This record gives sequence, structure tokens and C-alpha cells, in this order.
Amino acid sequence: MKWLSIARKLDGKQLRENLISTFIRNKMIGLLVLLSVTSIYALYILLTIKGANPSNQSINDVLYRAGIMSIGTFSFISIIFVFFTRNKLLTSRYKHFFSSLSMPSVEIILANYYYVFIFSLLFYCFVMIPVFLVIIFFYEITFFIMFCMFLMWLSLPLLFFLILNVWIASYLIAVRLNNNFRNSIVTILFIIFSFVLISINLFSGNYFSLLSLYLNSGFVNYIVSLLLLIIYISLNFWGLNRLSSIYLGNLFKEKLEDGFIKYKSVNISKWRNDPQLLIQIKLELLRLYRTNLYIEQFFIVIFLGLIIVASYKVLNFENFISIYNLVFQFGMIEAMIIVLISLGSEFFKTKFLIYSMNWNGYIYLFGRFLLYSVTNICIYLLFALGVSTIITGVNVDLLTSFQYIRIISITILAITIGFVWPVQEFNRLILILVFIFCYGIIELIIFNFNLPFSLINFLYGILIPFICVLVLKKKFLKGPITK
Amino acid sequence: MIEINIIQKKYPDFSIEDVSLSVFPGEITLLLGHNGSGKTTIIRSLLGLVHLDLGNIKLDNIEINFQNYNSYKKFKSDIRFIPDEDVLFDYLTPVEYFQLVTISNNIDSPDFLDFLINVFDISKYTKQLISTLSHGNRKKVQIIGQILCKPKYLIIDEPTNGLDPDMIIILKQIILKLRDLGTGILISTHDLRFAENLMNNVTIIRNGKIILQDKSDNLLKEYRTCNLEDIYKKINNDYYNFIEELIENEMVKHS
Repeated sequence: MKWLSIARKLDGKQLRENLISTFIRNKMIGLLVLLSVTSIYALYILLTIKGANPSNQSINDVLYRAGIMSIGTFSFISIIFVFFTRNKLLTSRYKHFFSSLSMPSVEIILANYYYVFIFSLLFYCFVMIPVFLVIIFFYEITFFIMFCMFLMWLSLPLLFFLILNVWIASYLIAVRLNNNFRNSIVTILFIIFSFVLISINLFSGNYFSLLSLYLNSGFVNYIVSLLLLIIYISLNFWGLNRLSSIYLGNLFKEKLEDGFIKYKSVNISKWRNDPQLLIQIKLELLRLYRTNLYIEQFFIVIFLGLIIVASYKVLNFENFISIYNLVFQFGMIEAMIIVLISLGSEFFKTKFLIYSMNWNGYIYLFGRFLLYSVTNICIYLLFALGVSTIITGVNVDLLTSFQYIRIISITILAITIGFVWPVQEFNRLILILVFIFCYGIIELIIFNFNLPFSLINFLYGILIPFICVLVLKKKFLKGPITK
Repeated sequence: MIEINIIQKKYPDFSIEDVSLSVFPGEITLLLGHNGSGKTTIIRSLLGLVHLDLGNIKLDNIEINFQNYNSYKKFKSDIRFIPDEDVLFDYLTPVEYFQLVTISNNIDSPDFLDFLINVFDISKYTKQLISTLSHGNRKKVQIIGQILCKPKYLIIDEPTNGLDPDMIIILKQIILKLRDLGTGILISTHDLRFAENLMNNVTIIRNGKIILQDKSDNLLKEYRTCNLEDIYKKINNDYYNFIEELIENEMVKHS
């Protein structure tokens, strides 16, 4: 198990050090985050148990729903995690393992994705444990129930291998199709394949682990379903084994070839007479375009849009509305902050350059804030007007000013969090999820107090932005780095 | 003239005490010392990036207040810094980066830029993203970006890291030319051979304290050699004797 020790020594060590240093540096923020996550989780467990209605539902129905939810949740989480850690393999240490240590490619892939799997599993547990608690509390635990739950857990590595295979296959197809727009094609293919994968698993019930629900008797059937699952996992692993060497070969070759891609230059000299604010906006746009960050945001928006449309087509109205609200409340926030949360780490990375550029700190911040606010309002309108009103017929009042004020507060708050806790490739998604949970709690508290609407507007539109700008300017964008 | 006077800068496991350093126009000041001796802290304090517990920074005898823009405005326009860290806007091409430097600092010298691009031999890479350049070429882009501003004072941390022998020789000539044209230069380096013919003033620090500070002419008189390595060894004599003794005894024991 060389790959496991490599994963633990490299990623595990880095993760431990990051966590310890972050919590030591920001004890209060760490405590607040921990408290918020614990509270929202306790609330979630209570609501799930309270909402359970064992008298009306047979154990088979409950298990079937739990199975579907299990597959959907884990697939969704791992798809997002695999996508956002795609550049992790490009660090020099993995290239070194590939070229110098003659380590089998599949082991490099396993080492790279070990913690990604662990995190997917953690978030899966976060969502699924209350569902399992309902089964344990309200139903008599039989061997059959335990077996079904065991199969659900066992099917997780299968799903993960499947998603890795889909990612690698998308990449290899994209490389063969077109080299110049490779990143965009990989993203689009991965969206399509992942969507198909989730749809097949979720809605057709065509999944081996669920066979046991229908073969609800006899020891032989248990053995058969277990064997089928193990065969399916092995097949996926075999596929991963075959694809990984081709994938890594292409990936590292591509890294070398990247040097020879010439970009169409922008004549920055022409910006000389532009106002500073416009220069900052153009510069940030160039960064987002060339680092493919906008593509990531596009990926999330399309993915969430597809989920809404698919739920509308497949689920009944009641279930659709609950999915819709979830996506509209939390998914959209994720789509909005996924890019701007990295602004802080970009600032810290280039602060010596910013020092020599003599830029004004307020203009640096305001230019980016303006750009991200406009992007976020566009995302909101796309959801509210495009997905909700036109496709699903859910009426959203576009003229409610509070939604726009809320978007502005989310934007500035996420920028501030990105500065306080600079993100890396590895912790970006965790930070985003923590942000969404904490923001959810704050909103829950604010709206539970029945505060006057003018006070809520003041809080979102003036107080939060004012505090954030003050923290950013006094603590980070201060002199002499910026004016 | 830039002066830095650090009376005290304390960290949990390290401190810098009583360090004074000056950079004069038209002269090169060398800052030498072992890893962790405090060189980078001194440079960052000079730039106002590290807050001093006790001490000050002066430009032409006027103390700089880094909390007040009017106070450090002139300082920032006079000074340029080339860090040891590999820091650039990776999403730009070198030529875009140079253009950004010129418009941000309100300078316009296309001929000088062409000259620097040719001298540092990066014309082949100017339309390639900076993120795809080799470490050496990135270092060249960093150096050009700062020299382009024709600064009054230039601070360079480890200038030779990542550069090939050709470029080290060329950089040395450019630094000497800048000095002759009146630029005050502070160089922090481990490369004693590179620094040898460059120095006008030398400061050697060990564990946050100055152990030697003098002009190069005085050093030549005192130590009767221009060889910086010999001078460095003599200054750190106790340390090297201890290490030699240790190597002699322990290596034999373990072989």
C-alpha cells in the first residue's frame, strides 16, 4: 500500500498543518465556524428525525429512498470534489512519482484522490447519518436492513471509481477532439457524462445494490447482490487501472506542451489613459478568463440548472419544490462565491508585485467587487428568469430589491472570508461549504427574529459591507502594499 | 540615502537587535548572513512590510511613517524590490506584465524595455503565459519589471537564484552600470563569488546581530584580501573552528 502511505505523508501532513495553523491563527473564527457547523448539524438531525413518519411508510420504501438519496448525495459531492481538485495532480511531486519512481499510474491516481474520497465520505456522512438514525430509531433492525445499509456503504467506492473513470474518459476524449479548447471540452463532457450517470443511478433505479431490496428473501440473494456489487467495483477498478497510465501520460505531456501555446496578447499600453477602476476590472477579467475560473463558475451554474430542470421533469411538484429551494438558497450561493473566494489568496501570492504597482487599495477592492457583483446578479437573473420562470414556471419576483442587496452582501462577505482564510486548491470547497452553512445560520437567526424589513435592508446593504470593507482595508489592503 | 535602524524586532524564537544599515546613492551595499540570520526580515522591515518593535526607516534623513500615504509616497516611488520569491502575475504574458508596470508607474520607455528584453534574452517567450515559463525565465521577467522603472534605489534578495551562468555575468554588469548611473543598491545573497566585485559596503549578520559592517576599501586593508569567502570565514572563525572540529571527530566516529 505504497500509495496510501504517500497520500498520508503528503496530503495528510499538509492538511494537519493547515488545520492546526489556521485554528491557532484564527482561534475565534475557528471556534465560531465549529459552533456554527455543530449547531446547523444538530438542527438538521432534529428536523430529519422530527419529520420522519414511520407509521405511513414501509421499511422497504424507506430503504429505497435512503438508497436513492445515498447514491445521489455521494455522486454529487464526489463529482464536485473531483472536478475542483483536478489540478492537484499537476504538482511536481506527482510528476516525479510518475517519471522517476516508476510507481504504477493507478497508484498515483489513488494517492492523489485518497483524501478527496475521504472528504466526499465525510460530507456524505454529514448528510446521511440522520437518515440512518431514523431507520435505527423507528424500525426493527433485521439482518436484511443491516445488509442493505452495508451495501449502501460498500457502493460508495464503486461510485467514486465510476466518477474518476468518467472524468478520465472526458479528458481523453477532449484531448483527441481539440487541443486548444481542451479545458472547456473536458468540462462540458464531464457535465454531460456526470449528469447522465446521476440520472441513471437516481431515476431508473438501475443499480445493483438496490437489487437486494427486491430480492428480499433468502441468503443466496444476499450473496448474489454482494457478489454483483464486488464484480461491479472490480470492473470499475480494472477500467481505472487501464485508463490511468494513458491519462497521466497525456496530462504530463500536456504540461510540457503548454509552454508552446502562444496567447493572443492584450495591448495593456492602450489602458494608459483609462481610469484606475477600469484597469482593475479589465485585469481581473483577464485573470478569470486565462485561468479558466469563469469556466468553473459556468460549470456550476449549468450543473445546478440541469438539476433543477431534471427534478422538475422527474419528481412530483412537492419534492421538486424542496430540491428547487435547496438549489436556489444554497447552490446558487456556491456558484456565486466559487471564484471570488480565491481573491484573497491571489492577493497574498502577488503582494510584492502589488507593492511595486502603487495601486490604490480601495480601487483594487472596488473594481473586483463591482465585477463580481455584476456576475452574481447575472447568475441570479439566469436562475430566476431562465430556469425558474421560463422552464419550471415558478414565479420569482425580479423587482424585489432585497435579493440584489443580499447578493451584494454575499459578494463582499465571501471576498472578506477569502482574505481572512486564504484558499488553496485543496481547501477551497471546504471553505465554500463552511461559508454556506454559516451564512445559512446567520439568515436563520435574522429571519427568526421577525426584524423590521428596513433593519434587515440596513444590515445586509450597509452594515455587513461596511464592516467587511473596513476589515479588508485596515487589515489586508493597507499601506504600504497599497495606497 | 536610505537608512534602517532596528533597535528591536522580536519573534517568539528569534530576535533582531541593534541593526543599522544604510544604502547610499551610487553605491552597492551587501547583506550577508546564514539562513535564518534575519536578512529577509531586515529587507521587509526596510520596505515597511514588517512592523518594527523599536526602530525606524529614513529616506534622506526624514523618518517614514508607513501608516501615512503622504509620508511613504516618495519612498515607494524611489524604491524597487526584487524578491527571492517566485512572484508574478501568472495569467499575463511577459510583455503584458511589462506594459502593466509602465502604465501603473506612469513611465514610458519602450526602447529601454526592448533593450532589457534583448539583454536578458527572453524575446522568444514574451507572448507566452508567465505561468508556463521556466524558473530562470520568470526570474528574468521579475528583474526586468523592476529595472524598467529606473529606480533610485534597488533592493535585490538572492539575485542569482535560478539564473544561468550567462545571465549571472550579464546581471552583474547591469548592476554595476546602474550603480555607476547613481542607483543605490542593496543586495542580499548567499553567492559570495557573485557579490565579490560588486560591494562598496558589506554588512554580515549572524543570529540577528551585526558581526561586521564596513566599507570594502577598509576590509581590503584589514584582511589583505578581496576574497569575500576568506573574509566571511575569518569573521565567522569561531563557528568554522567548531564545525571543523565536529566534522573531524564525528565523521571518524561514524565511518
